[in-house]
Amino acid sequence: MSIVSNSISSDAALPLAAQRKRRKLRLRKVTFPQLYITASLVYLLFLLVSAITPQLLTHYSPTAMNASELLQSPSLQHWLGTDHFGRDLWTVLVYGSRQSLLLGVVSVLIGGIAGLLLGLVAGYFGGIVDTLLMRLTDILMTIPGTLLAIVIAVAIGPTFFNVILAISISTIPSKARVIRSTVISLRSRMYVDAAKAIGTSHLQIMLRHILPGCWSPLLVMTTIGVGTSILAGTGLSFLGLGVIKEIPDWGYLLSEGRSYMTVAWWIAAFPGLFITLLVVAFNLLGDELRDRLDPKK
Amino acid sequence: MVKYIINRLILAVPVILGSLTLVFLIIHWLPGDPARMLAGDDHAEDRIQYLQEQLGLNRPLWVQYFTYLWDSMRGDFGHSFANQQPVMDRLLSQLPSTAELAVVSTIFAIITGITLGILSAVYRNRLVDYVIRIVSLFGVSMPKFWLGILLILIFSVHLHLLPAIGNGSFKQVILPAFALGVTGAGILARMVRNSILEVIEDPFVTTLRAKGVTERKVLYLHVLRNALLPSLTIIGVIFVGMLEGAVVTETVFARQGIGKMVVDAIGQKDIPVIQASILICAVFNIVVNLLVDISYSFVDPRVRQQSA
Repeated sequence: MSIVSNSISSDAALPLAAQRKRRKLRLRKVTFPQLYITASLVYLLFLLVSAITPQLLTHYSPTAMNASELLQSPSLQHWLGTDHFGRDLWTVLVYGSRQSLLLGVVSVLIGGIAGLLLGLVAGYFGGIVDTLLMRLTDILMTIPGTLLAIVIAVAIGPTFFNVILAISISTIPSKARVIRSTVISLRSRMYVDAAKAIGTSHLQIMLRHILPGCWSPLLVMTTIGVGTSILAGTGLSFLGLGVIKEIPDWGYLLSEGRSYMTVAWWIAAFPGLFITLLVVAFNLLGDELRDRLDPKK
Repeated sequence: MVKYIINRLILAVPVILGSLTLVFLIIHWLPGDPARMLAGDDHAEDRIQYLQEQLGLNRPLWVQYFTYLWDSMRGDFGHSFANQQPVMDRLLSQLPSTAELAVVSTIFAIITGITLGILSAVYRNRLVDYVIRIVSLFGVSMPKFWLGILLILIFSVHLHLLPAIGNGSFKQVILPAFALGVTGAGILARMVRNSILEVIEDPFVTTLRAKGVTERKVLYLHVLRNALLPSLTIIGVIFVGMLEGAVVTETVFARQGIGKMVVDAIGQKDIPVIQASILICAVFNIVVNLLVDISYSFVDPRVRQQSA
C-alpha cells in the first residue's frame, strides 16, 4: 500500500521537479554580461527613438515655460520634476538627446576618419612620412585633450559644428597611433608582399589588403570614443563653452541645475544620470566588441 | 642607462618646441581683440591703440612668435592682460593648491584602483567581480562635474559632514580629490584585473603551481609583481589626467588652482595666462612620461636590457 502510494506521489512529483529544474537552468543561462549588453542596447534604442521622434515619449513641449510650476519635485505629472523655467525635465532631457547623440557620433566619425587616414599613411609608407606624422601626434598628445578642445572651441567660436570639430581634433592622435601599429603589423604579411610582387598599386594594396584589417580596432575605438566625446562635449557645455540653444543639451542643463542644487537636486541629478548611462552603454558595447573581435579568442 | 636617458631628453626638445608653436598658433586664432576687451565698453580708439602697443599686439606675428619662444624658454611668460601681474608669479601661487589636489587624488586612485583590480581578478566571474566591474565602469563613465555636484549635495548639503568649497584644510580636499580620482581608480581597476588574468595564464605560473607553491604565494609574490608593471604607465597617464580634470573639478568646488585660473583666463581672453598654463601642462606631460619610461627600465630587467 505504502509502496503504491509512494510510487504514485513520486510519479506525480517528477515532472514538476524536472520542470522546475529546467526553468532554473534556463534562468541561469542569462549571464551578467548578457544582461549588461541587453540593458545597454535597450537604453541606446530608447535614446535613438527620443532623438528621432521625441514627441512619442512625452506630451509636454520642451520650450513651454510655466511660471506656476517652477522647480517642482518629481511627481506623477512630472516624472523627473520641473526646472527653473517650469519646463518638464523629462521632456527637456528627451528632446536634448538629439544634440548629445549627434555630437558624440559625428565627432567620432570625423576623428575616426582623420585618424584612420593618418595612421594608414604613416604605417604603410614608414620612413620620413611616418616620423613626421608621429612627431606631430606626439606634439598634439602633449596637450591634454579636454584643454585642447576648450582652447580650440574658444578660438574658433562656440557653434555646434565647431565644438564637434574641437572634440574630434583632440581624439585624432590616439586613433592614428593604434591604426598605425595595426598597419605596420599587416604590412609585412605574405599576402601584401604577393600583391606588391604582381604590381598592385599602393592605393589598391592599402584599400584592398590593409584597410580590412583595420576595421576591428577602429570599430572598438570608435564605439568607446562616442562615450568619451559625449563626456568632453558635456564638459565644454558645463564650462559654458558649448552652444546655447532653446532646447539645452544635457551638459548645459546640468550646469544650470548646479545653481538650484540646494532647492531642486533633480535638475542637476537627472541630466548627469542620462549622460553617465549613455557613456556606460557605449563602453560596455566597446568592451564586448573587443572581446568578440579579438583574434586570440 | 645614462645614454638612454640622454637620448630621451634630446628627443623631448623638438616635442616641447612643437607644442610651444601649436599653442601659439591656436591662441592667435582667438577671435576678439584683447585690447578692445580690456578697454571696456567705451571703445575709445586711442585707449585701444595704447593698449595694443603696451601688450605688443601690433607687432608682426612672426616677431610676436619669436619673442614668445625666447621668453618662454627663459621661463618668462609675460604679464597677465587682466591684472598686469607676472604670469609666472600667478602660476606659482596657484600651483600648490592644484598639486595638493592632484597628489591626494592620485594616491586615492592608486590604492582603490589596485585593490579593486586584485579583488576583481581573484573572484573572477563571481558576484564580487561583477559588482567591482560595474562600479569601475561607472567610475570611468561619470562626468566629473556631476559626481562633484552629487558629492556636495550628499556630504555637504544633507549630511553636513564635509565642506563643499574652498581650500586650505585637508577636509576641503577630500570631496574634490574623490571626484577627481574616481576616473583614475576605475581605469586602474580595469587594467589591473586584465593584466592579472593575463599573467595568470603564463607558463611560469603553471610551473610554480606544479612545484606546490600555495595559491596565495603564487598570486602575491609572483603574479602581482608581473601584472602591476603595465599599471606603472597608466599611473603616469592618470597623474597627467588629474591636471586636465582639475579644470572642471576646481570649478565645481570653487577651489583655487591652475584649472580654475585657466577657466577664468579663457573668459577674460587673458592670452599670456592661457598660453602659459597649457604650456605647463604640456611640459609636465612630457616630464611625467619620461619619468615613467625611466622608472620602467629600472623595474623591468627586460626593458633595461633592450635599451642597453
